[in-house]
Amino acid sequence: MEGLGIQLAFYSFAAVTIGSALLATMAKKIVNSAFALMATFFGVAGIYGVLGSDFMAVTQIVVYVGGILILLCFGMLLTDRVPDEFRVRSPRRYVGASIAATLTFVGLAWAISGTAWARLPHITDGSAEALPTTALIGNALLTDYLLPFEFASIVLLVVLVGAARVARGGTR
Amino acid sequence: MADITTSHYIVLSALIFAVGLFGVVTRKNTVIILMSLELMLNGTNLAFVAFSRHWGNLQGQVFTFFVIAVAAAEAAVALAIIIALNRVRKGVTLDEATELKG
Amino acid sequence: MNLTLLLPEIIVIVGGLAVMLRDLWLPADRKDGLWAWALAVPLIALAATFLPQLDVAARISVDGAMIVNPEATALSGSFYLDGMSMLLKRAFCVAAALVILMSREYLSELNRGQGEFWSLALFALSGMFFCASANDFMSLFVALEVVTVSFFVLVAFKRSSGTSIEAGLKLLVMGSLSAALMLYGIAFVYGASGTVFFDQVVVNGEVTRTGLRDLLATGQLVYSTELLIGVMLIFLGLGFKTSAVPLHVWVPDVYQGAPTPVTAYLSVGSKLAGFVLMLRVLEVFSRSGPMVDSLTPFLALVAAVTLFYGNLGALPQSNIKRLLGYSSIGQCGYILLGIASAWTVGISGTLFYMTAYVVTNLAAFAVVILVSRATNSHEIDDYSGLGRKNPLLAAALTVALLSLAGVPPFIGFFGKFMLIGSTFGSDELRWLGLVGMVNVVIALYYYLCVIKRIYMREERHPAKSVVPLRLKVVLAISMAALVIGGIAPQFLADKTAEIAEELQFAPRPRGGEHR
Repeated sequence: MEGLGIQLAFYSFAAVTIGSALLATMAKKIVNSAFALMATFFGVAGIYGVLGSDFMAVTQIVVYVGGILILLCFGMLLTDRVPDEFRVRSPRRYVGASIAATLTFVGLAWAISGTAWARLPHITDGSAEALPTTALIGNALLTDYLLPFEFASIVLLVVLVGAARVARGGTR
Repeated sequence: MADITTSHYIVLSALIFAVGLFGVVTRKNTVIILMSLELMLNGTNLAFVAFSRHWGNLQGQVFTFFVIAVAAAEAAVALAIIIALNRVRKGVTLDEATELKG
Repeated sequence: MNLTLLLPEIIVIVGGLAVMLRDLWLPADRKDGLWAWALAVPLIALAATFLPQLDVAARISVDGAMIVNPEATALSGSFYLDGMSMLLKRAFCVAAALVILMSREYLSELNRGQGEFWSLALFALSGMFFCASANDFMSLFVALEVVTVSFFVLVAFKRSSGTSIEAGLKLLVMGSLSAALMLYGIAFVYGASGTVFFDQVVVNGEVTRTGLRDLLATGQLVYSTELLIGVMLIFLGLGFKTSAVPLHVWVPDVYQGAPTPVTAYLSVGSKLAGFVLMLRVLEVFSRSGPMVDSLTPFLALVAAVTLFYGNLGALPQSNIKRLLGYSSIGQCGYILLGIASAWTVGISGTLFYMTAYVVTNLAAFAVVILVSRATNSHEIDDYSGLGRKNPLLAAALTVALLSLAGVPPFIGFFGKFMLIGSTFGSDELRWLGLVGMVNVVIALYYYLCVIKRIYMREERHPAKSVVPLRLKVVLAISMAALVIGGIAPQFLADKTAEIAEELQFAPRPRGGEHR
């Protein structure tokens, strides 16, 4: 029965994610894109939940929905309204992009089908470490991953200094 | 229905990645292009978390953590640049950015 | 934990913070002196790289096999110091110091923002340092992003200019796209191997964490399609930094739109950061013969297309910054020749050319800055008559362009000679060497067109360029390096050969006698 629950959860979250992702990239109005993107972020968070990554699921919602999406909405509101149609009126480029994206996906899917990844992840066969993962990740960040963790603070510092510099008004 | 294996998650991640790529190529509003880029990053994040579970170690989840942190930082710079461009140019499409040819 | 190894990095980060704080305390009319503080940082870091404490053997032999010396790593193996990282860190220091000397004049046009500019330039330098020492994919990604994000801001630094901000936006979109591609590649490598670390960690004789180098060397990780796709995606993503096809489309626009000192910094610092990471990834995967065999055709194709794109694209250009943009795509193609060949001579040539490229390209950009200050233009037509107006400047630009073209006796000739020569070592890559030679001729043509304008045409702008002392120093240093490096290349070539040997690439070309 547990297997069925996981299947149900996976397929419903996957449907939400893909449906809203398609909507986000194709919606005529930018506001609709933003709302669809929110649904995608929640869908991906749901998949993380199915995978038993509770910490990543929460981070996904807090940072993507609570942070990045809000930033993008500010970008939407603070800029002038521009027509939101597709970049090229002629359908040729549109068709070309569809073919390119489909080929990318088919190519990746073909590669994936030939791999040894078609087995149960550890979370469902019971051999994984226990939930919750937060403490383990916190521990790992300050031991094995200290360098990228510390250096990520430089990224944030650069962004603080840089965003203030570029966005602030003024003639020079 | 068959069991949900790691491959299922990776195919889903590839699908999100491809949809994001499609958005980046076809849209002209910079804000939507950035949204599509976030979609692509979500695809990679999903792959990392799924592989993390596949191998039973935390490396993929920690990697996702860094990707999310950096993506948030990039979004802040992107917002700053979009606002600055709007101030000097009025309108934020990549096509209107025509002062530079090509 | 051996934190002494991180001394140059610590100096640069602390220096960046110090410059930022110093800026807050300086009154507005005295900010012009800040450049000296900024300049001191890369110079002190350069001196620190010569400390004997940092001179640790990168590899040791255990049971007959050469493995990474744990003494040369720090922070749980995330940081690794070998000959390649030391050489590149010195090159980055020189590049940053020269760029800081060149930027001072540009910044005096801005009445605020000097502190931000210097500190961002220094943080970008710290990112490059960590790129040179990254020993796992997470550090690689975060270090690369520090460089990329700093350049987003530096390129868009002139916030009142539409072209500058537009260039920043283009760089941002392409940079994020390439980061996504690279990350998907890393995800595939992780999926195939189960690790994002390059090295294993052994505690009390027990392996607590596996690493790619060891998995590949022992055959626990073998060639597979998903691994190959992953590595190819990583190379595509890094190709954005090095301006390799197909993620090169931003180059001409951003080079033209960015403030010229930033263009100069971008064309050497950011590019070399991409190359050093390419070399690192290639070094890790060169433990597996089949991986190298299947990567080579891919890299060779990218190199050939990049060469033709850059050099043919440069032909019709009338703007010197765009011309140098296309030329930098072409130069990327040459460096890829050596990377594609993946044997000791090719890698040695790659390192040689990367080092030579720093001084050559910065010399060209220094002249571009000076001429545009006098004529307020970047059109190549406005270089007409420079030979009569400013004979020394004209001579410097001529030497830099000839070195970029690969004309003896300058340093670029020897680098190109090594790179093209390395492809003739193997039967499979001989065609690539021919492509390289054809491109040398194409490139020579458009460089000579510029030189012809300088000397053969009547001047259009009577304004003479005034050369401040700082730029005289830049030109003197780079000219000396170009000429001395061209006449006596052995010193640098011996060093790079030693490093290439240490990296343990194949000692003979592929398809050679070892089959």
